Amino acid sequence: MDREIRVDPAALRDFTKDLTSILNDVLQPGLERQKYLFTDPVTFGEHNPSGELFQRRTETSDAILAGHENLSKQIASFQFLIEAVGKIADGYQSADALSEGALQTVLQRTAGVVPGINTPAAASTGPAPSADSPPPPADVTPPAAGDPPTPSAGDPPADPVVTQDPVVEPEPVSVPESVPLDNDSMEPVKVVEG
Amino acid sequence: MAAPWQVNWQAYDVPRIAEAVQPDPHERDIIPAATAVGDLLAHAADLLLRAVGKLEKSWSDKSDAAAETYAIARALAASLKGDSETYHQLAADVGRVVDQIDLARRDVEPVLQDWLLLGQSATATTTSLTTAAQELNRRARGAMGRMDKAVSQMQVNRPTAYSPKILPVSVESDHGRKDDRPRREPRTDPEGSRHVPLPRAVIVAAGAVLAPAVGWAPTPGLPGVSTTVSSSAYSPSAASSGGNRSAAEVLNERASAHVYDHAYASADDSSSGGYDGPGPTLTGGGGPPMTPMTPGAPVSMMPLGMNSGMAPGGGALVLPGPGVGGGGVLRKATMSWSATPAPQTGTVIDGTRGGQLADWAAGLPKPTAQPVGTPTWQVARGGPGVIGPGSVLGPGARQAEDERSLKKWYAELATPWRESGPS
Repeated sequence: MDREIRVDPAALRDFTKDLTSILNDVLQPGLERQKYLFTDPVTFGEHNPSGELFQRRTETSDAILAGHENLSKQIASFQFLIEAVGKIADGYQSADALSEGALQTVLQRTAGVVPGINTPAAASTGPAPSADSPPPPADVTPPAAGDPPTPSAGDPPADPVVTQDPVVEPEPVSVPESVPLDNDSMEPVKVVEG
Repeated sequence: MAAPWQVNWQAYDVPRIAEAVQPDPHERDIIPAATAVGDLLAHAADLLLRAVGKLEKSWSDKSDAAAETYAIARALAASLKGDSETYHQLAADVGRVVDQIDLARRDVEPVLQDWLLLGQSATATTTSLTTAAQELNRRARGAMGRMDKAVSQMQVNRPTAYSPKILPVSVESDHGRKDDRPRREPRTDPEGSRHVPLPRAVIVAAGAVLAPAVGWAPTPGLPGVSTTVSSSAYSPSAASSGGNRSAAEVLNERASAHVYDHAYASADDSSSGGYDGPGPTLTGGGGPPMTPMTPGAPVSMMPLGMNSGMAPGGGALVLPGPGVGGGGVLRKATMSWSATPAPQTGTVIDGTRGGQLADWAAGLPKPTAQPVGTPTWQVARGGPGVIGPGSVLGPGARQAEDERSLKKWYAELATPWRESGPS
């Protein structure tokens, strides 16, 4: 199956709210009202010595017990789903935040050298580069001859390709200390996570 | 599954069978409760599926996490739906079983009325009453046999076990912790329908509630008569359910699978709230115990009215059976007895002839008060008292009082297991 991550984390939160409501507002009070089904003895025909009636009472008791065991597991499954989906939503949101952080980091390092790209957000670490920033360090080397063709100066940078396992927390994006830069062009940044 | 034992209905006469089919005000309590739980689970399943459907629009199932979540949620909904159907079926099954008890009761009630009234006739004889008693017993036992046959073809099914591959550890670790069992509470909620929050653990935690106890308070059988027949000898289907195992073995096996000892809290246990429901519960054994034949044990007998020719002032006809031989007539007024063959009509022969009936009668309770209507007045001087209870209350009231007294006497003698005698 082709994998696809298309999710609205808010919908996941709504789902956990729906399940919590089913559990706390529907099942729990309803079962409380009928608790005597699970606690009172099965009495029909109890004054009758009939073995057949005793057998039916025993079966009834067994059925109620089995139903109660199921109920315990079903409620546990509800609780599991609420917790699991909540964590999945957390994971997606943290992955999004990490991606955003990675982008900001790249922007910070490329600001001022890539025309058309704004400075990073103020929240990003370190002072924001400005137009008066010093030129790139002298040890920046041009791309090798075999490297892919670089986009022209006016082209927007290619979208980063994000490959992410939805349930695995992504590792922090590693950005090379020295980014190969050219005065008029830059390599597309490829971020590989997971 | 076949019954663990088959009752020998020869051990039960009409009054005992009538007692066995008496209505229990709580016998149908399970039906509305199971129906309500079934409705509740179906509603929860619908809400869950609706929530899943809503989520699917915002979370593609091409993600592994989504696919897994949907699978778990759908399995949960399916289990809730399945259990809902089982609860509804359980309610229907219990209803059908109780219907059979009702049917038997309708058959037995007129038989009991005949049993209680035939001896009221002044012309009834031991022969006529003994013959009538045999026929009435046959009819009542036939009704029970029909009930047994109908109920044997029914079965109450349990829900399919729900075994999700995920389960929080806390659920499993609580399983089987007997100390967590709640104390029994009165069957009737003293708070009525008012919502009372229940500790979550009572319903949620697995093992917190064990199987509801199986009520067991059978009417005692006739003294000295075996109450059961061999299950394997009776039931053609017994071979498929254990065959040559005895009824006691089967029942003991069942009893060990349940815990009955704590199901009924002690009445003086304040924490239990003093459950006032049916008394003894099953603690093992193979069917209803046989009543020992001891002097004074409640044997089969028919009431004789105030105008009975056999027992003027009322009494009881002791029917033939173990411990009493051919039976006899017991007169209330003097607590004297006569063994059969007794005079067809006329006075009871007071005496102390030996035999089984004498042995049995030796165990009867002794009169604790002077017979009504023969008061002795202590006066300082003058003649004996002339005002008796009958003179004050009138002859009609006197007769009614005597009849009530006679009924009470018969009930205590013939059906001592009941709190009140037959009306």
